[in-house]
Amino acid sequence: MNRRSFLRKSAVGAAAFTVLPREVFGKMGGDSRYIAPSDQLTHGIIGMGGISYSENHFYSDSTCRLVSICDVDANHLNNGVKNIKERLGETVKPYRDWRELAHDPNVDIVHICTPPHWHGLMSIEAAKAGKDIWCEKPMTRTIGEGKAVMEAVKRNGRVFRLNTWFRFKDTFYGLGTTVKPLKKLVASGKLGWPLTVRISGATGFAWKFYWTGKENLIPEPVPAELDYDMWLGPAPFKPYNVHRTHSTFRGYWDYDGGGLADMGQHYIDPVQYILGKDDEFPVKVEVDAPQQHPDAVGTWRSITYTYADGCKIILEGEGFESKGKVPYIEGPLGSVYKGFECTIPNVMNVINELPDPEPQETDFVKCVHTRHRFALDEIKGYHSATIVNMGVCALRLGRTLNFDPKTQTFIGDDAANLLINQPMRGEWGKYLF
Amino acid sequence: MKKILTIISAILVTSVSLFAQDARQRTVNTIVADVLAQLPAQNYGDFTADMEDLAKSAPQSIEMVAGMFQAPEKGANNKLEYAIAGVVSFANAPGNESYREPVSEGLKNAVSKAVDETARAFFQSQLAMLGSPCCAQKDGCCQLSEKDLLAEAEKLLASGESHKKCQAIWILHKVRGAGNVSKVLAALKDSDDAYRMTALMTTEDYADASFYSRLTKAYKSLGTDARDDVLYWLGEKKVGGQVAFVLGQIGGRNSAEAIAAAGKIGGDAAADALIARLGTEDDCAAAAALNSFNGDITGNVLKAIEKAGDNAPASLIALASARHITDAAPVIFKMAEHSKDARAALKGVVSSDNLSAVAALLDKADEADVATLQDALYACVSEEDAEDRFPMLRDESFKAANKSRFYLPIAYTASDEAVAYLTGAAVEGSGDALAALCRIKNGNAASALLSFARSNGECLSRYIQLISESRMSEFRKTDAFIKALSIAKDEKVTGAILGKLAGTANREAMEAVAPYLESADKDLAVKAANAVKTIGCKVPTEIPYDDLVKYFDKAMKILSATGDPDDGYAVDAMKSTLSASKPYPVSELTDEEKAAGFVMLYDGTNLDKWIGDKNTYSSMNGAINVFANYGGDGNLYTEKEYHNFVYRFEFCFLRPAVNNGVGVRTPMGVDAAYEGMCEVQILDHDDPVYADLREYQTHGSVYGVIPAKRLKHKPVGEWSEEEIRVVDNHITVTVNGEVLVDGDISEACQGHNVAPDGGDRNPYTVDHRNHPGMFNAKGHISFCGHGRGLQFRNVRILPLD
Repeated sequence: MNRRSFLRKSAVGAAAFTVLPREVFGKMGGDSRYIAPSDQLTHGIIGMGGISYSENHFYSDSTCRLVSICDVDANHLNNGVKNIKERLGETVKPYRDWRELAHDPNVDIVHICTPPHWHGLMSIEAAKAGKDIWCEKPMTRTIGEGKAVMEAVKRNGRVFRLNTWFRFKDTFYGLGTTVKPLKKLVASGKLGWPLTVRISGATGFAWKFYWTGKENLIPEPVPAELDYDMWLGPAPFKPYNVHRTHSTFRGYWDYDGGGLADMGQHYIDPVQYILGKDDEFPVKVEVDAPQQHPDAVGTWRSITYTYADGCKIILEGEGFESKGKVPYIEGPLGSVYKGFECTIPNVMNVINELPDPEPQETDFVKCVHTRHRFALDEIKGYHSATIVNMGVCALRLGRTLNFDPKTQTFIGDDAANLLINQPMRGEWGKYLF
Repeated sequence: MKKILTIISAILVTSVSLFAQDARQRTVNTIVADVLAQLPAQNYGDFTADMEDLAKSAPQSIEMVAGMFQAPEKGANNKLEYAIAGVVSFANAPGNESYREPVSEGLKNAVSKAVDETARAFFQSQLAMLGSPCCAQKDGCCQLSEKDLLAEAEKLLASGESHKKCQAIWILHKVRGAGNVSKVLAALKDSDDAYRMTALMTTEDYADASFYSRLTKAYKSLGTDARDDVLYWLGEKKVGGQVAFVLGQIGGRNSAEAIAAAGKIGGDAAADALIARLGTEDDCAAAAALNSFNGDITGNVLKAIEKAGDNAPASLIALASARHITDAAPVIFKMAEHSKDARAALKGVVSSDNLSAVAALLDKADEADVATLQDALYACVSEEDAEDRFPMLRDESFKAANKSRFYLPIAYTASDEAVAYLTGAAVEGSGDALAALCRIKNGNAASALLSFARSNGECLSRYIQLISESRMSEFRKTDAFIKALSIAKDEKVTGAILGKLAGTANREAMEAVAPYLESADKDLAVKAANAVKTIGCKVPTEIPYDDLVKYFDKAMKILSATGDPDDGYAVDAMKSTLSASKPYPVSELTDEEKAAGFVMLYDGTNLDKWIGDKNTYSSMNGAINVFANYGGDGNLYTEKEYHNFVYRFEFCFLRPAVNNGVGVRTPMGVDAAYEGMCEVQILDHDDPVYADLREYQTHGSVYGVIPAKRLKHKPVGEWSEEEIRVVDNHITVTVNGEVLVDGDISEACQGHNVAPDGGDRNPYTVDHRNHPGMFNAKGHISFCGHGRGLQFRNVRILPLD
């Protein structure tokens, strides 16, 4: 019997504990006396850069203890061990090779906090090692890797959480509300159909164009603390320059894709939910942008997605926003603006009369115990990540692409299809399957 | 001899290819140079034109570009990379198949001749992009025989490891399909949670009514956890056929899961069953399921409330309220006298019929119920027309003893009358009115809030919020935030205002935020640095260059010290802004202008030859910058007066929708378009705000007298050259070499600059107005400001008298 089959027996007990407010545990000083160690889950974090210190990952409590971390930068790793000792009172096991963490029998849940070029491989390997997975957005940097993650999670019976949360929590950027009333309004049919969603500075969404890359990078010596070969992993070898790595990696296609790839899933995943299209893909993506450099991510003017039923998602780049008062969602019968301003009279009354959307399971630890799907699982995550990645493909090629939702390939464009499954360096390709 | 011949022919071949010419008689050399000069292409049209040129001359063009790569330390390769990646992408586009072979050949040669490993890897990666897509998604299962697969599954099952058992059940499902049901049912008896749930998931493709009936038959033999799994699954799949089975589990050990499943499946029977569980030990689960129940439950809820009467559980009343079941209002109202839960539910069920009754309840309510009843009171009018809500509530308040309890519902109306009413009450000293004023969603409350803001932090915060949400012009917002800044007391509010000022990027905002760079409070200094960066990068031309350097230096120091990665980007942005915003060089007359007798009026250094409003027109960074506010009357005039002349200048729009003009032969302090000879319009007429423009108002028009040919303006930030030639009554306006106006103003109005009948309407001018100054003999030349966002430079004149 493995650790987790042992756990479920006390799941009811654990669930009873979770009814207590979180602060109660906090006041116990993270003391785990109140839950037997066998009922407590454990997690490990791969990648000890900026995001791993967010409250989503950097915690250790009676429901889930932090037991190990991994980084390819010795400074990040040592600081991580030190900070966790100081702030969480835990002594964690440090790893340099993430595969060892993924196979550590003491770890139940693997948190993936690396740059996106690793997300696919790490998720797959963790699934194959029998771990449940909490992966940072964006889910993967190619459509093919996303599909492979979805398959691996399914085949190994794992619970997967993609980490962006606006479909179930928090004010959704410029809208000044959570997503729930929007979901109800759209479902009511009061706005008509098809709908156009505009994700733009004009509706309260920033595309962070400062996350662009630099051309003409001069090779620099690799710092002693960094295992650059392991940092690159499946990405093509390119000489080291500090701008490629830590936090500025977002500006390079090999690892991410600027604001579009890095913020895109935050902004687009809730739209899929709002439109009720969690199991659909757009059939066309059009771009208006200057030519993109093959290595460094640049800026763009607009990216437009069209679904088969005529619904559209329009992304407007910084400096290219529509002028005047622009709706966030526009339908033939009504529109919603920034701040939840709506052309439907007494919109809140209308919304209140409708049933709530189906409840979403948002307690990941509980999901691990019950094996229920998390609100944003690998299937929904794959769908919204694919929309982002369709945009990346169209942007890199600079042309309109048509997408076949059934096969999840581009229609009649070989180059675009080459971007769906990109070659991996060295032996890393074999970890994909 | 033979050897020499080979070499010679090799040279010949090379030279032939190098000098091959395209349809425009260009050599490959020229084509490559032309293309490289234009990269990166700014739009798809340019891109395809450039890349077609390269592709047509492949492989030579490719080899030539590839041959120009240098080691990264020695020089920039970015344009070459744009060219190679671009042509590969072009060749790979649908319809361009014929270019793939030559481009590919060029790249192969490039690989063998690459200057270093980085370049070689780049060429190879591009070559790979010319291949055809491989089928990367292999399915390991497919390559094994059925027998092998079953053996593999047995092995995985025997391992006892959870995820391996999950793999096994998928394999078994793949091999047996619907025939795997008995294995799935057996798996449900396993103690492993993941395995059980995975087993259920494998059934998705074939599950039908008969499968679900087998599943529910097996239910009895399962453990508690597995029973939960089955119920969860029936709910997930909304198995309507098993709703009776699911309802049968309510009240038992698996009640919570059965209730959740019933809510997802829906239907009348489920609704009634769930409503019956309200007020029992399943209250919470049933309420949650009913809030998101799959279908309409209005009738069921109403029936249940009527039946239960005073015994209705709190959660049932709350449900009626949440779903706005107004038919339940009479029952709930009756209960409201003695039930707190019913009072809380009123807001969801009341209408204007209940207004007076709710008002009476509010008036005499205990303090603890006030907030609830205030919500209910506003709900009574919320479906009425917006303009009726305030008077309805005000009239009720007149009848009440506790008038102040009505302030908050009145604030919810968000009407202008409410703002005035609450401001009046607040001035008279009502704290409740002031609190209500802080809640009102109406920008007109801002000025009242500001008057209280000095002594009340909540008023100040609300003032800031209302200003930032308002549709005021950017400059009015800046003024408002600066006012707020002057009275803000704590760092948090000050920091928030700095952030708001950054959102209204202009000179005044910069002057307001810059002093906070020196703040001793570290967070505040960082906020100031970010604001300075945002404003400076957005409107560098509005800030004197020396100040910009000073502010940015300080801001970069502050942000470099934070260690936050996004602050690193901010530093990069400031560096690149600084390098792009050096002041313009001093302008000089051309030799031809010198010979003709032109005089420089503004060369970029000072306004000594000008009079008038030198505050809103200032010489900065080598240009005259217009800071006039919209509708302002600040004008800049030449010191001297002129009769006939040639007037030349350059102008540049920095913001969209700019409006200005050149006054001709005008006295000072009057409207040059009428009191001067004329005003030659300067206008960003392409901006959408000018959609309804009349033709005599476009750029270059002699305003109201002679319409100009419509000019296509250069983009914001680019300079245009303009010349205005005035000889007696003849005026010629030329922009960027294009003549927009060439006509006689007297002829244009048949000599009638004013109406012959002495009236205000002049039928002879295109704007039908009088132009009394049209035949002025001489006057100043002016810039007539109507708003900021414009620069002039290199202003010179040739007097023709």
